[in-house]
Amino acid sequence: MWVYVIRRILQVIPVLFLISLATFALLNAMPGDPLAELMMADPDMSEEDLANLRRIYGLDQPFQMRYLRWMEGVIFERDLGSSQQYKVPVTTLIARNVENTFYLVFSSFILSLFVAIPIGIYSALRQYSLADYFWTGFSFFGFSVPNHWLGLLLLFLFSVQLEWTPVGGFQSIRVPPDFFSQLLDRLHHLILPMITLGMSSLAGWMRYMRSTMLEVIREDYIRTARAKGIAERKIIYKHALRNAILPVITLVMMAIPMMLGGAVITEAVFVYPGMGRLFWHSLINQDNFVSMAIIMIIAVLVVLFNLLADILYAWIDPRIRYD
Amino acid sequence: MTNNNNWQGPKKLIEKPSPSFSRMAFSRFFRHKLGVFGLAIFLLFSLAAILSNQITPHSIAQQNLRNRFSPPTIRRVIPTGISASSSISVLTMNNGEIYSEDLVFGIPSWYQNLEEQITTPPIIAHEYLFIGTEENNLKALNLINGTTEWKIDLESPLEKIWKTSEGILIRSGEKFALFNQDGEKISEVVVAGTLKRFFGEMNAPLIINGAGELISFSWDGEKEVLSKFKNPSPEIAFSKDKKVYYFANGYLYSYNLISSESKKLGLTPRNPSEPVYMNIVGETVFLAFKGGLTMGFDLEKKEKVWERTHEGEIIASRSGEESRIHTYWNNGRHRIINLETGGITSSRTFTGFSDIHLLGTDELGRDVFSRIVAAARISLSLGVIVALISVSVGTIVGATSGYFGGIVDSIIMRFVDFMLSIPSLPILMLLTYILGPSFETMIIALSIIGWMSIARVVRSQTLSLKEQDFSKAAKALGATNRRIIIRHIIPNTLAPVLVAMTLQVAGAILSESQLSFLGLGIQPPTPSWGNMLMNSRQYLTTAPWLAIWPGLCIFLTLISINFVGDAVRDALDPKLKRS
Repeated sequence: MWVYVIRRILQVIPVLFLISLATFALLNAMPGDPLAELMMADPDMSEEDLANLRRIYGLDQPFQMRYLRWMEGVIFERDLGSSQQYKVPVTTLIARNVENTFYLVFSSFILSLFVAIPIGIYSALRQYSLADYFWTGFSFFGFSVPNHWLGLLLLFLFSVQLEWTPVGGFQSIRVPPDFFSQLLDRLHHLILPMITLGMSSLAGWMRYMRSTMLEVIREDYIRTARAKGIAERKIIYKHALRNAILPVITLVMMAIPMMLGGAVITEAVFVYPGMGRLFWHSLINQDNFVSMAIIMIIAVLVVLFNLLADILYAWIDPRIRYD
Repeated sequence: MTNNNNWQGPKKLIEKPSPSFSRMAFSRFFRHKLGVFGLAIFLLFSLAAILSNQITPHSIAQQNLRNRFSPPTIRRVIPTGISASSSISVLTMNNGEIYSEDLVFGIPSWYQNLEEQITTPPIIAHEYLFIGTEENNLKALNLINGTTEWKIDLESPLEKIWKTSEGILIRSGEKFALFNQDGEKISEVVVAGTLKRFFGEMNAPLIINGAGELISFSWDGEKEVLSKFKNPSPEIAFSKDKKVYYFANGYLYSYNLISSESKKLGLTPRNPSEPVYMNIVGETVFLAFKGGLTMGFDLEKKEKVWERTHEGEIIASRSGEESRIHTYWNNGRHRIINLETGGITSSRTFTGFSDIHLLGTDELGRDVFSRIVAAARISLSLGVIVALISVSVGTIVGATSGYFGGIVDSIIMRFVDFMLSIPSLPILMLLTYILGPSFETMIIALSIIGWMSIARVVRSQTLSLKEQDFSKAAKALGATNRRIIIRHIIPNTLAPVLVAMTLQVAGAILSESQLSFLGLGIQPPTPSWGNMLMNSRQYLTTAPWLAIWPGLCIFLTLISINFVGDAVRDALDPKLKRS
């Protein structure tokens, strides 16, 4: 098992290296001068100053040298470069935003999971009932609804019309500093983005859970268990669910990096200060080190969750052996 | 013998061959209700997209006007004119009705019926609305509620009212009279002859009279004929920047007040009728003729830019925002004419449902329905093109790499697996931004991402197909690898590829709308469902329909494609279970 894990991690290193190289190359190929904004802010800047700035930012170096320098910083100094737009190190900037995105992704993940799995099981057990039809219809809706539109609709309904939720942001200004009211305030701001981000995965998992459950329930060993007179509850939760949930786990694990992608849209709709919005802004403002860092974070997360899914799979399903 | 007669098996087989696979698939598809429903919606959208050139705002506006707002052939109540300040606009009718509209909120403000004929166009000046009525009256109305504040009886009919900095100037009979805002006469000058046009400043008024003379006069009664436009005499004129532009005998002329030179500017319509209205906005001369002909003439290019004929005759007009002119016609229509193109633009911004604008208008007064239809064309064609490219590339890569295997295969598939597990949106954002956002680069970027999932599907199919007997038989018969791949492997992967392709179309349309939403896709003013949605966010409180319609279109397209995909999967491979 450990050998397998270590081998997987080692396999991942060249992939991450290639991704970083490709991203770095792409970002360097971007049209426009990264110093354009600085030049605009101070049109009197002399050629000499510009050259100096280029040297400071390393823009006078050839591409491979710049890449190596960046790589060196990342590996040895945990330095991801600095943001030109915000004039702070990228690590600080990301640390400021990563927390919000984590709350968003984590809460919508939990929401989707705790809604999708029980409902999936429920509609599988009562196939062709009214509730099953309703949830199947709902999952079709959730699967097809574009999340930017869903976000706008929720905003319009709950923030503009009913005024139940705030229009955007992640916290109110005047909130008592105690933990409970802070938490409530955060949740208040989170509820709509959470639903928006979680909707498609919720629908997907619900559908998937239902179909795997339906498949498993027709298996011979379930019939055998029934024949032996085991309580229905026990059959469902001990025998059927454990088998049905296996393929869902891979799907669920892979959804976390996917949700990070969806967070870009959600954060844009709800003006929520997170990594997705940061990535969007850094891309548009040519803040290359920031974009680079976020892409690398997503890539690492993908690798991590791939691995985690495999390990979880092995742990839950004793039939799988890794040599 | 009897045995032979009874034995009918092979005969039956020959007479009734089993239905072909494709026919079976078709019938299975059409048994799938949701699939047929989805296909119907998708075809409807495609039809709208294909016909989008026919469904332009003009034709929609005109059709609806013709069908529902067609006025009675003889209409007694016609507008006499319109006047507007920055906050209020007033429309007067010849029967004495006055409608006013609050321009700040875009709602009707007050209504008055004077029950006597209004003979002049209204003028808003100095916090009053001035009108002339049939009893030779000059009336000043309160702008807030429309009540009459004061009125003056004149000896002769009132021809026209102008706004000046001192007060108002009227032409009554052969007199010009200047009144202050309280109705006291400041001065009066008699200028004989019929009046054609009055313009110029208050301290240096200029008129053109019926004899074609350009006359300047001063308020103490001195008159001077500056020029006599011999032949042709001006039919309509407008002054701007020390120049008088006039239309005469089918040509547009300019007369320089300083150098006293007349210049022929250009040719105007072939069959000009009597000009009824002239205005200059920016560098464009707007001319309207009897019979509904309107024309735009560019003063810089010195040429006619456009010429259009509308139903009815223009009665009044006022210049609107951004080179638009509001025109009021004798058949009761209010047309806003874009001076750059001559086309009718929508009547106002942010109107909701109406007969002219099926889905309302946006912040620039653009018809939302037309934009949605135009965007459908972009989104659907993009989805289909991306799917076709992805399928071609993905099938070739997947089939060759699955067929030959080896190190190249494992490298490609490692790469594909990894790329597929990365969220596509950040990568697409990066790609479209680097390539520069446009329709073509979006196709490239979406295809770069899109081929991978197809390749994976095709490869896994190929791995099993190449081990099957027919491939081995073909190989044994001496078929080349290329022939086996093209003739035997690829046709057999069609079923799963078709399903994957429907998903590709949906995915591309969704990604397009998301990228456009983030400003990295189709760039405004070209409409796309995504950029319409992004734009709508800031008007969510005032105009929620802007957010509803484009999003509903994306949603309907995606759900219909998903339905079709489900049905196709069921139809092509009954063994696969429905999920």
